[in-house]
Amino acid sequence: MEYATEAQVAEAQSHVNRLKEALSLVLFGQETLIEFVLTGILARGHLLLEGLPGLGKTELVKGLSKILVLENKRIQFTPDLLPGDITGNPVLQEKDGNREFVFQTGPLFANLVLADEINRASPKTQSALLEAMQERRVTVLGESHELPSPFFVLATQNPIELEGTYPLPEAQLDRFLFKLEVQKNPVTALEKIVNHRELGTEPKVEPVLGQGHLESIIETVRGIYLPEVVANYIARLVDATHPVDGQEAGKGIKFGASPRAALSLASAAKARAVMQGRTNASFEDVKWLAPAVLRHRIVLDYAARIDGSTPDTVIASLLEEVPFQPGGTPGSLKPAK
Amino acid sequence: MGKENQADLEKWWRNAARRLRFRLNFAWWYQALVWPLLAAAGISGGVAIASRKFRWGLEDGQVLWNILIALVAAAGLFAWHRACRNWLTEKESLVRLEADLELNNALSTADAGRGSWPAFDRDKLLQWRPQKILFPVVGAVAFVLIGFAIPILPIQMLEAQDKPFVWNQLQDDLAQLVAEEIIQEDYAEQMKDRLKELAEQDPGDWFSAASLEATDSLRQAHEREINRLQRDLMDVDRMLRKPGQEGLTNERREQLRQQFDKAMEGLRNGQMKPNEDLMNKLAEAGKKGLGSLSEQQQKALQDRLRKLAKGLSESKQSENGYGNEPGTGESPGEEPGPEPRQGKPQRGPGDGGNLFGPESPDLKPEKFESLEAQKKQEPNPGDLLNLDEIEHDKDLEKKEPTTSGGAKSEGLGGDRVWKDRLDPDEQRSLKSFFE
Repeated sequence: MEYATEAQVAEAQSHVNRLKEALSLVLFGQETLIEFVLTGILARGHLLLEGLPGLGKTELVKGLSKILVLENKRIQFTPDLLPGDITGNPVLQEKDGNREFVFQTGPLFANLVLADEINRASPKTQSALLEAMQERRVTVLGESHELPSPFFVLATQNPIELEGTYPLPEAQLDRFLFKLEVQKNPVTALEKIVNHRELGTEPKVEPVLGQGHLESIIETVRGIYLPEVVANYIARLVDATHPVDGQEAGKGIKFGASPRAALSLASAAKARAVMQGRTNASFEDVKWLAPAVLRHRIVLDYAARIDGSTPDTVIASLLEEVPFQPGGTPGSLKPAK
Repeated sequence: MGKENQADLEKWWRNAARRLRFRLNFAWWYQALVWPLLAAAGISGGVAIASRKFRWGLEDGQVLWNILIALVAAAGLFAWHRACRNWLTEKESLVRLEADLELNNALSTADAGRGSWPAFDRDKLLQWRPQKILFPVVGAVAFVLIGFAIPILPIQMLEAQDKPFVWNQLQDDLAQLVAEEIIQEDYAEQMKDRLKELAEQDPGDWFSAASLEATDSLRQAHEREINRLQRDLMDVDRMLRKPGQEGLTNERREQLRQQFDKAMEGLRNGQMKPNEDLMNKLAEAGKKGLGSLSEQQQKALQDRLRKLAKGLSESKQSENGYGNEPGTGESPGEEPGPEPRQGKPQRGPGDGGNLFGPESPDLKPEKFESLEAQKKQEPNPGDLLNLDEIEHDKDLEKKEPTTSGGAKSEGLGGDRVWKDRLDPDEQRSLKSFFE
């Protein structure tokens, strides 16, 4: 395997910094969210954005599609949306005097798909995304159609107005690299929005990176070195999400994260390493990314939910309890001042 | 960054990792050593105490120190075995360094040849906790010092000092009787065996009722034997004197001979027998006839008999005639008895005197001191609480004499209810109901 050189990483980092700057002109005061979104894109993952209406989720995705110069489609999920409406349908056409079915591609056939309010579609339609998100292709009437590369699904959902919605099944959630919680804007950001935006207009965004450049950065991410100790830490962290009797770590979790979570963590850690200009992934990357990767992949038990625990609090305690390196420190030593 | 610089950096980081590794591994070993070390020191201290208590003599030579060294070495090996599962390798110590210094795994990456060594940083991540280091050492030293230094009265000294005094007295007496050739050794051996049996009991039972009863009966039996032997010897002495007198009839001589034989039989059959040589000479005199002894022979025998009787008499005096030694009787500081037969039985070692110093002169039975309660709500037992006169609940109503069988009260029930307590409407309703 070819590992990324320091020069390649430095070049990739400079591109990513330009992307960050451009996105921060679209979404004010959400630097952390922007960093997560870009990390997800570089790790070739699908993102689920959750937040109250009006916080800029859709705006962020639209801005991203513009600066990346990628073909983007928006699907507004509704309860009556059918699988064929997103994957495409075979249409009977007359060709050379014969009539035959010709596949008419749906909105999934784009580089960047904005699945707005994804939880409003029926489970049947949501399931149509499973194959597309995992294998990057759709199968209709026994015929598979490859999706364009790169292919990203950026879905949004809001945590209120749950009436008439269908919670995403675990299998679907597991296919999202990150679940990002879009927080409300701070006062300074709000002030900036008020000063620089007008209702009903969209911010002007210039394209920053072409598809070729993006794929080259993604290739650099693949070449990032993942030290064995970091891989071991990821494995122990994901394993700790599976509760074991008598162990404090993982207490309150009913179902833990899958191996896909471990792969996602590794991939995202590599992407963050590029964003930080390093040739290797690190413990710190994993720790920073763990909440976004794990929060939608663990299911809390009833008692934990009654106690007021949330996936984020459980993950925080997991990160406290699982050390970077097994063994700990003997009692006769203490951290130096 | 130049290659030389990279080599320097690598060297610096590897040294730092080695230092950290040594410190951590030593700390793990030391942590595993704490309890075994304390246990080893505790055992050594315990053995030292036991050795001094039971006079094993281990503390005098190198034996106890060798035991201590062996135990500490065993504790060290045990700790080594337990700690080695936590020990870090050089690679792991690099990881520990980069994790604690938040170097983003730069050291592991450089170690794998996938990146460059980062610039110098501090390497002192961990420092010792002095109290956790000192506690086991101080504890272990304290255990050993306690074992060697606390004052202990050896149990043998307790035995010699505290065994019932009568046993020593009887042993001394028997030794004296044998040394002065007054009695035969068989009896002395027999008595010594019995005393040994008593002494072989658990020291805690020496002053039990059964042991003291056995001691008393042994002493009484010894006294009886001495009295009997003395009496028999005096009889024999008397028999020896009389046949020499002139004017005795043959019948009287025969009577005296029979009495002599009887006294000799008593001497032979008793448990306490006089000196064997004397017995032989007396037996020979008896065979030849009491009158056949020359005056010189008779005098020699009589002198011998009187000497023995005197010796026995002295022995009796020594057993019965003295009080307890100060501090060894039933009460502390008891003075010797003023006259023979005033001594008291040895019922125990007595208490250890005034353990808390001399008695206060205020502690006299005739000196009374009343206690007064500081608070009225918390009186002392026996306090006089109040001397006020109490107004008793008296029935002040004047009573007049009444005739027997007469009821003065009209009562409140029955017809009175009907007449006095009901209003006219109620009376009418009740009347109609009964009608």
